[in-house]
Amino acid sequence: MPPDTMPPAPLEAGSSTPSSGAIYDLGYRRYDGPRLGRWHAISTLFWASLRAAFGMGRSGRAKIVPWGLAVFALIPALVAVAIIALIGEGISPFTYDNYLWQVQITFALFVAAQAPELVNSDMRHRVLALYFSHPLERLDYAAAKLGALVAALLLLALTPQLVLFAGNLLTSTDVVAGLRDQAGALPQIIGTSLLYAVTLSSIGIAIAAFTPRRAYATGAIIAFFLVTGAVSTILGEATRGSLSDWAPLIDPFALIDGTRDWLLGASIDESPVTGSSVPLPIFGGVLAAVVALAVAVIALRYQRVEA
Amino acid sequence: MIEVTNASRWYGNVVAVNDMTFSLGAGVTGLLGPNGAGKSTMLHMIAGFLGPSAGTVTIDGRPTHGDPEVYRGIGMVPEREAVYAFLSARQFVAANARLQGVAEVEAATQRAIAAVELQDAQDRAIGTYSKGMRQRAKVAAALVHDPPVLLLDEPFNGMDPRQRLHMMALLRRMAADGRTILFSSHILEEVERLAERVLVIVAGRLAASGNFREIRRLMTDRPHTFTVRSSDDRRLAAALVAEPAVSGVALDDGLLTIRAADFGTFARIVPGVARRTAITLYELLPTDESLESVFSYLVAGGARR
Amino acid sequence: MNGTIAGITFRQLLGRRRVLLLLVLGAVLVLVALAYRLAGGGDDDLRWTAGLLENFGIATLMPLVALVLGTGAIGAEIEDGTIVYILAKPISRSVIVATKLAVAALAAAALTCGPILLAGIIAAGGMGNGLVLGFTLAAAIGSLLYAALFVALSLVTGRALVFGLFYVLLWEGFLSGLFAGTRTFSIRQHTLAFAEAIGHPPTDAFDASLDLVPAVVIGGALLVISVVVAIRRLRAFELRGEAA
Repeated sequence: MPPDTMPPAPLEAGSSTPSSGAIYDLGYRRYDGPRLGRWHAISTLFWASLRAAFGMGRSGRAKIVPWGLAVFALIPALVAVAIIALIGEGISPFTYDNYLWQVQITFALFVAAQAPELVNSDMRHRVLALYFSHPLERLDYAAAKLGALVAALLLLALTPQLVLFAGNLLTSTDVVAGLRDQAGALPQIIGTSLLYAVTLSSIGIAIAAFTPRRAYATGAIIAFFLVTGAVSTILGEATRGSLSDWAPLIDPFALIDGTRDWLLGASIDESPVTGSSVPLPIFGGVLAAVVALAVAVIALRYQRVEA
Repeated sequence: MIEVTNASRWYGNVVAVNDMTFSLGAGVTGLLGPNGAGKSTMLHMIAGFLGPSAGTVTIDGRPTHGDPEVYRGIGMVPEREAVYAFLSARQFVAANARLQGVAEVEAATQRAIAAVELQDAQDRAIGTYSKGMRQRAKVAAALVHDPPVLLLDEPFNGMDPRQRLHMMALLRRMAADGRTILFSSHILEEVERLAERVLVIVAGRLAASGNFREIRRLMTDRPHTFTVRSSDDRRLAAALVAEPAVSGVALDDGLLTIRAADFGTFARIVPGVARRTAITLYELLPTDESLESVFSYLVAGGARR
Repeated sequence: MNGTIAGITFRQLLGRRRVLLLLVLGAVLVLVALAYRLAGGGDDDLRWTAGLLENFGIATLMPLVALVLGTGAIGAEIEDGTIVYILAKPISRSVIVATKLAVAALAAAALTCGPILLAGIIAAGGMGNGLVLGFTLAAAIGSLLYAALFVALSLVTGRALVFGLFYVLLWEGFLSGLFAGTRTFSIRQHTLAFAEAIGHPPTDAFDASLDLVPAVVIGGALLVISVVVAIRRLRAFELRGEAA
């Protein structure tokens, strides 16, 4: 709407330039400019969810759990670096192969605590309808949420390993040679982290999407990880028969480790995968099936859920 | 009986209740105020759920906070809807009776349930009740031990007019028995109809107290506003502004607004004016005055006094 | 101990869907024992049974059950506001805490000891020279200790479930694996010590890492502290109004 104009003010005696006034309509205006569209909506939701996974933008109390876990996952790396610096190489209790395996409980806890944060709050407060009234498809929403948790876990997993990497570099006598040596470990670092992140996130969100309340979701997710781990360990200790061989396939962490072993090499002593006679590609296959199932479940749930 | 002396309550930097002093005896008192004024906080302090940050809150001389024994003499109906959904009303009221140490649990339960007219539904789970029925169950639970003091936080929430009338009659009866009843509300009409005495709370402060009619009279000093639709607004406005009862007319966007200081006289003269000028009146409405503006008037009026 | 409060708490804890999760957990324990039996058992049944009861029964089932029931005993009522009906009564706060704790502990013990007993008998093919009985009774004590801790926790923070998980998984699980000293302050280790002391199982089957005396002393101290903290927090509990 064009601005309403008042007639020009009367000229003052002696001035030569005419003055004019205008009053502008400040009422509600439509936006007719360019709109950013679906991809931007997805990426906005992704970043917002990633921040929410770490409690950013909320009070300090919301940050205790995610950051506490991040610190917990980081401490062994710091300790290992300190040991290397003080005592020398070769004594580190952690390698790139077994680091994530050792701190696996922090990832399980992170998913159990934060997946409900991402997923259940929206359901509980019935905001899904608001999301879906934007150019954001139902599957886009699910993808953004899942992607955000994967990214969060990636950060959680990469940071301590990179600290270890940096520590190894800085304490080696020749940095450039050290870099060449350590660089071979980078695929291991990134690949393992990706495996952990994708698997745990998809399982966590799949479980959270089906539970009505946050507390139930946390309990269910952690119960899932604990029970699969315990059952797998116990059945693995039964020394007779194929039961103990196939037991590791129940434990998602063992599946991840088996796949890592298969794709990236290097088995670790602590993992039950080492003692099992099941061929490694089977771990990979089962893992892929589990992740595919979880993702399918999430997709189905968000297609069907009442907004 | 209930004595509140210079009571304040703050949470960090937020002052919820600011230096309030009053005392209540038998009868029905209404705590009136906008949402967030501090009515609930005050009620909870009297109920002993909160301690005052400064000042004292006592019932019969005993401070209410920190002493579970005061609850023998208090019945509390909280605002939050949640109750034990899996219990029936009878079980819920009976449980409250037992917890209060009532001697004859069954008899007291039936009396309380009859008082709120829940006899027919008393064996159904409370989770299946409507909002109004749940409120009644809560009131029955608060009454079952026959307390001399009854505190109700927004008790008429969710009640239909019939239930509201019945609840009001019940409370009036109890007050006539000599009980002290204090209830909070943000709805003027409820307080007007039920409370003999009103405490008006605005932003944590006591803005007015006393007999409701007195306070209402204070508010009639303020001009009333009406909107009028007629067959000829402009001529009607010109005719009305000549009358002494009218203090102002305004014609905005085709809407005629009239300010009248003397409501009674104005009501009398309007038909005559309309007939004299041969204008047909289609609509005459008092504009809703927000509770907040009424209260701010009260606060300002109180400051002037 | 107040009967009415006990009755309400029992119905609240056990009448919800979350009990299903706990029952399923117990069932899984029994099923694993069954699977072992059906697969023909192993070389050393007793040793395997001890492993099962320790790793699944005491380390997984018992804390999860106690967590859900312990944080729910008072926590649920605080969250939805029905706590007012318990607090606005002339009942001492210590009685309230004692009653709710007793109910939570009893329910937790029932949902834990039952499956442990059953699974133990199945896997060991009998009472296992005292092993199964020791674990069952120890689980009852452990449930009480956990329940007390989690009831106190639920009165201290609104996120008692997550912090309880931190205690169980990070302190008792992760750190106890690294530092032997933390085991003294781990309810899990106390319970295992009790299991050994009560059942006197053969040492090649099961050997607790903590001795009985520190378990009794520290475990008892933990119990007392939890109860005292819970009572004090309940006494100081403040119920804000909605429109505050």
